[in-house]
Amino acid sequence: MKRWAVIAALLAAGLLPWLWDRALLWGIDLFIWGLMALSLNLLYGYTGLLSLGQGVYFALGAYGAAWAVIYNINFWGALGAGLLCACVGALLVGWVSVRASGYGFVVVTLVTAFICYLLALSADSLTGGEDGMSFTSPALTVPGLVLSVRDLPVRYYFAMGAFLVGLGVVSRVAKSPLGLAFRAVRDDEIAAAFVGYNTFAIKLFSFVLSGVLAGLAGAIWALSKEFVRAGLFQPFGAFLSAQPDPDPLIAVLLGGAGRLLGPLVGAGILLGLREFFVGVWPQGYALAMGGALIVLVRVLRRP
Amino acid sequence: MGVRVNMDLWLVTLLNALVWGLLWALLALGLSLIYGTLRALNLAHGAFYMLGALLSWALTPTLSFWGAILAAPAIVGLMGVGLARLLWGKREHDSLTALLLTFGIMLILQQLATIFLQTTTGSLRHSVVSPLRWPIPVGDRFYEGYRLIVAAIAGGVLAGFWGLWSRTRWGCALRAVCDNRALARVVGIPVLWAQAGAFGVGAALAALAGALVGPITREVSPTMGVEVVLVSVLIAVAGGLGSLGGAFAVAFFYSFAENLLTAFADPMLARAGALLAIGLILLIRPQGVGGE
Repeated sequence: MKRWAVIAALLAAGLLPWLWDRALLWGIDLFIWGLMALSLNLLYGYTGLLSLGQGVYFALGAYGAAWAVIYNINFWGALGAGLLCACVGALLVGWVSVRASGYGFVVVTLVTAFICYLLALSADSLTGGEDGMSFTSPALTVPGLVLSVRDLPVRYYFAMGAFLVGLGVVSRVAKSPLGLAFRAVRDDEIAAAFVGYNTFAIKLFSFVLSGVLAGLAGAIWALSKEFVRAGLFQPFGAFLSAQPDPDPLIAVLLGGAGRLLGPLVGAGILLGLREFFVGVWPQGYALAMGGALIVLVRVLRRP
Repeated sequence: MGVRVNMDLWLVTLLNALVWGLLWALLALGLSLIYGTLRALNLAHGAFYMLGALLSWALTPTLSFWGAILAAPAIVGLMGVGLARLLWGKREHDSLTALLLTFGIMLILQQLATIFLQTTTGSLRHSVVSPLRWPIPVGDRFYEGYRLIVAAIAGGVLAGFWGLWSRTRWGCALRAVCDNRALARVVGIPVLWAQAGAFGVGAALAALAGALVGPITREVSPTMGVEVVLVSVLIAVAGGLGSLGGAFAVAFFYSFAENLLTAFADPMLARAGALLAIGLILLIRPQGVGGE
């Protein structure tokens, strides 16, 4: 039964672009931001660590890919460079931040994001600063095929593939003993430490894995937009634009923290809301998100 | 001659550090007070700051600048009391829920300010004129006298707050709520109103800082509070949440670090360096300078 539902969903997602071409653009956004929300869900939903600086790893993934492309590295190399940058960044920040608990963690992630943003702004020869820099994505080479991410269907299936990889990783981890350890830390860290879990290592692993997934989303975003800017690092940066991209935290809360498909649903709702408000009342979108956040946290329990 | 010019530069830098130290203290004190009473790290603090600046800019033509910097914090403070009663009410929120609530408030206030500016003026950035021209000669340079008045006002408000906090019955009630809410309720302190009042006072302090800053940064916009809240949250946490003295000390430390670093590096690197310095305080003392 469950297997049939999965196959049906995959078929629907795979065939949709052939039936309705508007779904292409929408689906690309959905998969990229769904993957980003998925990464935060691993950290917050499963491990109970609320990070407000998840955008840093998205940005590192994007910049890693962009720098690699500028040095004439091929598509897969650029993707790998993005993941590597996000991984190293998450390891460095995680090493410090997961030692802090509660508010300490929130504040450390928030402030490291802010420091990264300031550094990215001031190193504008390297990052392009606030104006950003554009580049041309190399061809996507698969054995026997040369594709371009400029083609919307290629981009759609590529984003879908990356999302499915992320989903696979998270679902495997969630079912594994490691996933149980994540939840043990989330529910009662002291008890988890008492029964012998190395809570520092567990939290660090969750932080780095989540950072790498966010980096994957960022690398795909950069390779398909062919553009990066320092503003990607900025905490709350999305809310400074008139048409904010789906915020991963709100997406996770909307879809249900600690649920496997929650982030995808949340990102879908946010994209749908944005689409709706663009036609009716563009400024209403941010109000709706703020209102949704307040209602959600007053009504729902924590994961 | 060269040495002389440098001395003047140092004097200006130190004056700036003093002025900004007092402003950061206003912001961090409010955050610390709100955390102490409500156990909420207020992410909407930057939005209150922005509203203060925006309201004082909007009210200046009718009330004059000096009237506006009284009215703006009063309005924002009352709004804070209302918000706290509305959202906290009888429920106690755990700390992360409270954080997310204030995040929601921040989004809504910022967007309301954007909509207000867009519909009334059609533009999001507005320049602010200084209410007085009083250049004070410092060697070969001039220092804006307005900044010294800001320092005097901020210092006076901080001293006044300190007096209320440590000498009056109201301050005593607030301290009791910070220490132990259940016990405070038992001895007859209206805890919910005390919490709402503290939220309002914190919001008003942030709004006052915003109103005073307008003529220094010479610009107001709906997004001006976004960076400010990040810095003041770090200051309040490094000072030890709930510890007003700690917030005050770290605010000055931060301001001096940032302003002295500006003499050597570009402003963004200076700010990043000062933030890192405070981060180091937190690494050495995770509960903050004044925290238990």
